[in-house]
Amino acid sequence: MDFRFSAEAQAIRDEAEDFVTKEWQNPGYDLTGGLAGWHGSEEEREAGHEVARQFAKKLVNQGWYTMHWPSEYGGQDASIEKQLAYREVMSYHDAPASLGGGLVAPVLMVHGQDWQKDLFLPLLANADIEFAQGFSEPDAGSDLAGLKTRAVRDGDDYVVSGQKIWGTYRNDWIHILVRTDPDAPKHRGITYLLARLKDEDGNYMPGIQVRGIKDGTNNHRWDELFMENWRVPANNIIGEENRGWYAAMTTLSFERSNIGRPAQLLRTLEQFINWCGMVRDEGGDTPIERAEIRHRLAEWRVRIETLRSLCYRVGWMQSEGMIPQKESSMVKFFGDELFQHIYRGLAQIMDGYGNLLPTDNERFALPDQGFLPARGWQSIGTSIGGGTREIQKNIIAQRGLGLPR
Amino acid sequence: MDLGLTEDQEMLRSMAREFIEQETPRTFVRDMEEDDRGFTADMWQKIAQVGWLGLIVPEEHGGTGQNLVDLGILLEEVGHGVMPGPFFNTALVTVAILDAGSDAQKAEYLPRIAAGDLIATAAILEPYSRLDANGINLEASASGDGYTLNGTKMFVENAHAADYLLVAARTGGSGEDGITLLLVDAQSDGVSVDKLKTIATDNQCEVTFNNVSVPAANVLGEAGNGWAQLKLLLQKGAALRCCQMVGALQEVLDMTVEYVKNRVQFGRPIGSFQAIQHYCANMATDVDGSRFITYQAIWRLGEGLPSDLEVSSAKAWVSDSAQRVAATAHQCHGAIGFTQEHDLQLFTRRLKAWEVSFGDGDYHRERVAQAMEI
Repeated sequence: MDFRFSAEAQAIRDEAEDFVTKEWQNPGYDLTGGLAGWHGSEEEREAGHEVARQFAKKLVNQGWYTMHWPSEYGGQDASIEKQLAYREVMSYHDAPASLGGGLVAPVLMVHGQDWQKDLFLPLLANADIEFAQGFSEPDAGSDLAGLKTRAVRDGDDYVVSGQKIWGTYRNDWIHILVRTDPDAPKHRGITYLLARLKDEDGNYMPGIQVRGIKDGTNNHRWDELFMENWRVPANNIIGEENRGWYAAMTTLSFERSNIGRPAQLLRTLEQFINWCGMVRDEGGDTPIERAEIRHRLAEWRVRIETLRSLCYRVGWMQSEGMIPQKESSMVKFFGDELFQHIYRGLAQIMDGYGNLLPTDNERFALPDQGFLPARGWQSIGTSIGGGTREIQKNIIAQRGLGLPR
Repeated sequence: MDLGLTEDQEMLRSMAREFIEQETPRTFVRDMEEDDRGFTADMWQKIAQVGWLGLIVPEEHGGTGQNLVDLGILLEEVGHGVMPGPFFNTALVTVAILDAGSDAQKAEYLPRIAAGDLIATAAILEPYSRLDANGINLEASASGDGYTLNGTKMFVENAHAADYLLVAARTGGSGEDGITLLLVDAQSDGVSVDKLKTIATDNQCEVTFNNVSVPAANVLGEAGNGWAQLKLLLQKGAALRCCQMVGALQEVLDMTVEYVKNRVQFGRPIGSFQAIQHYCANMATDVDGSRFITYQAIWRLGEGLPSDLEVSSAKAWVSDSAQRVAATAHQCHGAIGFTQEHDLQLFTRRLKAWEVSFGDGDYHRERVAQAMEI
């Protein structure tokens, strides 16, 4: 038993700490909490994404952006522990996009055709392209394999019709799951495609329509994608027809500890405590001098510590070649609940200030650049996106503890 | 980073499990609840023979010189099997002697402990039941070549069976200043022990000291400067108790999962119902969280690293989760789990006692707040 980082992992921690404190200054966009579009204007939203892209470019120059990729594709085969150590530091500083390539890169590496690898992997590695993700549908959320978007082969194309949701479909390219065999068992009739959403001039392809979705606080957060007889070249297929579900399940040795969650929460808690220190009531007291608040802050610190030890456990298992399953679900749902608990709690301690929107940040010097209260609202989504809390608990109970279905 | 056990530790664990299943099965645990002493001399000798009492005692003093993490792993099994007797208490006093004892004291006490000839327990709490320095007020006044003790210690586990009591006393001063640790022969004139009836039947005692003479040679560490050692001992006690609780919690979870797989209602195992499944998922997460935050704490203590935040985080989390896990286990078991004949109560009652042992969640949250400097 040894909770110390290896020399290599400690080195990247130190380097990343040094780099991120010098090079990362959030100019007031909530890039990791989904609030980049807070002010409602598309220009602001784009500007926020551009900030994230520029930072990713710096990480490319540092050689860190694809450290987790196999060397065959220009990566460094970074150990799980190194990835985890690096990600923990970057998340603590709330820096966006620390490791690149998203979900699509490993799928391409394992199942992609040569032309796809040659074209897209360098672009992904340089942070020159982002793919939209077309997985969820209005009637296929937790039951993703029940997706209905239909793709019918017609000559050299698939003709795709259907609807996707809960992505941001503003990118030029999308990786998308479609149904090619409606008669097969649901997991065996799905095909994985890469497709152009927009032409080279930035216009949506024929058959594509996109409509924005705002969350309950008027923040443009997602889109809906409507597809009607959209022609996608059949040569864009990844892997084999009707085997797309299995391609989508591809994972490489990328760390999946969710270590960003406790790191980011720790920073938030520390920032909040600083902020509390600046707020005094007429009697000269700060909120943290109240025992009930002090103990709530301590309890959150305890839970962050517990969550972090469970995240380390996932990383350690991966390092040992074990495949975390219930362990990953634990950090997901525990982390989501803690995120909600802490943000709602902090906003509550702030009394009326905890209900202010980020637009009032400058006037009142709110913590977390004014995004803290709004993240309390945003936190509702954390236990839904990426697999609901209930799905995670089903996984723990059924696959982890062996309870009958 | 390596969160696993070494081969030796895995072996220690499996041998401990086997030993406990054989020598102190649940029937024995139940018998010992009815027994005045709470364990048998035969069992204690066997524990000495398999090397548990000398586990962390250096080889030169008749032990095998293993470390605090090893002791934690062993205590996990002791908790898993709800093994009766003063093993935890004697081990903790062993830790104190190793940390604070002089060479002469080590040579005097450790071989006897390792051989199973000396049972010891720490007497720290007093009637106000405070774990901070201000809670230590048992009077130790200098007299001749030693001290005279007067006062009362509360919740001293297994004092009735102890040969020596490690007593935290006040030799003067106030607060952190003036605290002295003394090894007191339990047979000394003026020591009286009253067993308290507790929910866990865990042999908690009230110990009264009435003009008890203790030679100066029995001071552990430096007279008047014992707080730093006591604080460290309280932390090690908390972390080791967490280890014991983790073992018990794992067994509670395993028992519950087994039960809900087999209990049939409405024609299907109740473990197929999502309400029950989600209860079990919550329990498993509490138990795993308890395990790894405990490992972090005990490892840091073993390495001699600053551990205030980590130890208090562990005890706060484990104390609270233990109550949640036990309550959920009962809910899943239904009426049968509430009965005397079912084993679940053996765990629930002990987990309740251990919740407050070496500080409950509130106490440790305050310590976490201090470590956070808020």
